[in-house]
Amino acid sequence: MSEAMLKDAAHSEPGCRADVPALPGPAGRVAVITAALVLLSVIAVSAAETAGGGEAGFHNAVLRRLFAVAVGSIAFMAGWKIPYGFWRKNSLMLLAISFLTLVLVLVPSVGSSVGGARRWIRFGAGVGFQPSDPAKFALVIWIAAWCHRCKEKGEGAMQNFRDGLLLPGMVIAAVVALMLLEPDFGTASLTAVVGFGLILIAGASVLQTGLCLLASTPVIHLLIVNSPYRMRRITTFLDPLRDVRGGGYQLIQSLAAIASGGIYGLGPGEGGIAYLPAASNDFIFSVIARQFGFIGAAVVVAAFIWLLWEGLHITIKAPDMFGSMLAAGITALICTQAAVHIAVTTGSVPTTGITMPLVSAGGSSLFFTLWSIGVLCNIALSTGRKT
Amino acid sequence: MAKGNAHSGDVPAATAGTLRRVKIAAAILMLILVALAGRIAQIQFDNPGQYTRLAAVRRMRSESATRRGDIYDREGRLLATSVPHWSVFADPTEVYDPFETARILARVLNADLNTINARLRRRDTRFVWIKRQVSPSRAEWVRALELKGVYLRREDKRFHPFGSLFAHVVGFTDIDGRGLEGVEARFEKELGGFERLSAEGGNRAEKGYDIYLTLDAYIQSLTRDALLRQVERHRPEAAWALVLDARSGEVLSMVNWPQYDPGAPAGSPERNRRNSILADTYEYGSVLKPITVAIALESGIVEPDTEFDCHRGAWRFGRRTIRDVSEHGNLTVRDIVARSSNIGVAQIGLKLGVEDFWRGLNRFGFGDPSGIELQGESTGIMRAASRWNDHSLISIAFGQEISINAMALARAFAALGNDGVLVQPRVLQKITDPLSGDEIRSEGRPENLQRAVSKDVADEVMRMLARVVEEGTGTRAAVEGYRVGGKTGTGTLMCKDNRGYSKDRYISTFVGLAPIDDPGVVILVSLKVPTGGDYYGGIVAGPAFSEIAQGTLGYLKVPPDIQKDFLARTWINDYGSHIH
Repeated sequence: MSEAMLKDAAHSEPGCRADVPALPGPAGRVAVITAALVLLSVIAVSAAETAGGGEAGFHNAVLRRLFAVAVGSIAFMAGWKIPYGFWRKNSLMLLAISFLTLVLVLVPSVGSSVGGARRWIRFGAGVGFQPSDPAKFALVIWIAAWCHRCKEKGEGAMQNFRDGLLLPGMVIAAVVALMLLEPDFGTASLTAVVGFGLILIAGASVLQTGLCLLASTPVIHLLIVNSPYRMRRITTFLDPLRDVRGGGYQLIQSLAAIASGGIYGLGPGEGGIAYLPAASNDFIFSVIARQFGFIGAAVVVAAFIWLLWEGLHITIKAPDMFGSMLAAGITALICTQAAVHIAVTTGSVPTTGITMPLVSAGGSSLFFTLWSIGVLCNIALSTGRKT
Repeated sequence: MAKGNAHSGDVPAATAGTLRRVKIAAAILMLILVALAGRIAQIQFDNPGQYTRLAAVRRMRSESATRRGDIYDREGRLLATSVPHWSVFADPTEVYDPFETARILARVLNADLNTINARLRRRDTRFVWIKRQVSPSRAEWVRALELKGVYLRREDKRFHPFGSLFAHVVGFTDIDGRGLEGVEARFEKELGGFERLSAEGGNRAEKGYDIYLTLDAYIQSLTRDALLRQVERHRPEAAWALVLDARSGEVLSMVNWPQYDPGAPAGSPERNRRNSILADTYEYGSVLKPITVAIALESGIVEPDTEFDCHRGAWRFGRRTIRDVSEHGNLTVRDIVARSSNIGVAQIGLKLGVEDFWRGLNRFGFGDPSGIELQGESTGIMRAASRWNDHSLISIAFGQEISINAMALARAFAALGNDGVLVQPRVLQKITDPLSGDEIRSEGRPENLQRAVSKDVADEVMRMLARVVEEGTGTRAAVEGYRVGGKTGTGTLMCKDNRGYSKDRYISTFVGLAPIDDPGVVILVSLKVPTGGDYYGGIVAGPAFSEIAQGTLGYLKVPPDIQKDFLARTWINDYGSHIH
């Protein structure tokens, strides 16, 4: 399969760029997919936030969402314009700032607590962000820069246990541990999977990584068993009916919302599900499946597959190791998160609060995601210039 | 093959190996996304009704469409049930003329016009309550009016046929029908009946499980009447009484005073809602003496006839003077119990020593929860043996420095009546499914209960308890036609600031068993801080014991001890005791 994909890529690429300049290159296509998903989110989020609240409320929600998109577009343009090499030069500083914010958010007077979890740093007047949002991207940038440096040392440098696994592994573990302390199990596991995936891709020994993961299973086991709410989520996942008032309730409402969509959906006005908590965040996909039916849901899945496809091409064509790794990391973060979100809402994995990138409510998450996609586009554009 | 990228010499590019791994990872992620699309199709096309139905069932439940289970006493008398009521609510966005609608509703529902008007004018919500839990007849009226935007929904109201009689045991529910206290809270899951709902798809489930308690409304009401008579006479802060089946541990009655109305629990102060029998622990005082003696007899350090010098009513031990109410010379262990001599029992305690005493109390179940199926039990304070000294031995021997709840006390006495074996107190008789009539759970007699003392020791102490009533401090607890036994106790309460014992705050108790030869019931009566002048347990609580025992034994058809006098005489001859 990978062989076929590669051939396809080799054929389409020159055609698009040289022969028909009006057609957008990979950067343009990524931008179009992104714009489509963001547009969808404006409708879905607004409807979910104002379930049964009348027309005025809906208009306000749309305006709020459009404002967030406008701010996010600035971040997108920044990512698009700044040569991506800039991020490599500042990767260590970005990582340090991320560490600082991840630690700060745990300080009671700084981080604000929602439902027992400290995930937000707020500046007042509704402005704030979740440090784990930029941190996961900063970590990816640092890993990409690290792999780039290893490559500079020599071809086999990543096979070295210390450089290829131990050092980056410890940095990943530190970031993930801070996220777990908030606690934000969803983002932490996403970051861990993508982080270790990246160093594996860069050339770390599969055997060594596997052994390390095996060695850390007792820790992961402890983390789950020692946290009643995580354990409950797993038991709820196995038997949602047992805990119908808690997590099982959410899951059943989510499944019912998806099931009610049918092929064509009930229409944008019917997205509001008063009984589904956190509909505009952790269960936005259920709302979309209800509003736009199987067709709408399939289009969303297709959009992320397409984004993944374009990301793969950008990774392959990137001019240097850093560009490749960064493109792979950003694509992986966004598409894996989308997959986990869909898996949670469809009851395919245990419930964990994870948003759908670009689509779920929340301005700060949209801001950093759009910025990272801008960076992805810049890598794609650099490829074009250098050829 | 992947070297198609152009790059300058000094910039490292991704190698073929890296690109291969990238493609593998991307392929895996793509497969997952495709599989998830398949999963969505499965949810939407493969019997989607099952999810919407489940969700609807959940919603139905939250709107109280199921009826809560009933609670009965052991004879099937109804203690708590749900009566159909309707709640009126409105969607303000649908209401045509808020003021006119409010005016009509206010008149029909006998409610405040301004409140309803304000609610109907709200524009930030599509749901406002107009009035909750109105009677079916008024609800019918509202329905007939067909006001636009005004709706009704079934919301049952809990009804207690016996009023406040069972309030402390049965408890109450909140307005949404969730159990907050007592049996209602402890068996919320069973009464709410939701477990069954989800398992069977939600069509058949109209009612939760019914619960049968071991309590008996007749015994409960005569317990309350007897207690209230003493409350009137001695005007205590609080009082409670308990009847326990001495053999099975079943609670036959459990009464607390002051009472409250379970239909309007918010109408009385919170302390009225306490079930002091379980929730409050006290140093009950002399009622512990028979237990001390039983432990001493069991360990073999004393015989029933062993004599102790009671020092004419005042005995100095170290810097402390132990006093008796009356002056005694030499008393046998039997007499020590009958006369309730502090000095005598203090010496028994000292003789027992820390280890034997502590272990003996443990065997009687002190320091452990009783395990009864009710919430909020407090186990009290029994200090670790390592922190005991000689003074502890003395104090604990007559029931100080050991804080227990009334249930633990009654349980220890039940062990004496049950041939020395502990019983398991319980209030739950069975849980049944009203739809099928099946018994979901029934409580058999638990096995392997621990032995507190040997049968011989238990019988010996029972004879001592009989003497307490016949000639000792508890003569007012005597019951006509039956031989009974028990022990008086006058515990000293802590001062309100918890510094030392108060001089005028007592807890007066009588615990006893009836009939003495084949004990059927344990009865405990306590009055906390009687203010009528008297405070001795025998005087304040004894008469209530007598009345409760008389009524209960008659009701349970226990044959009277017709040979009472004859038995009493032989007993006196056997033991060579004397009567004043």
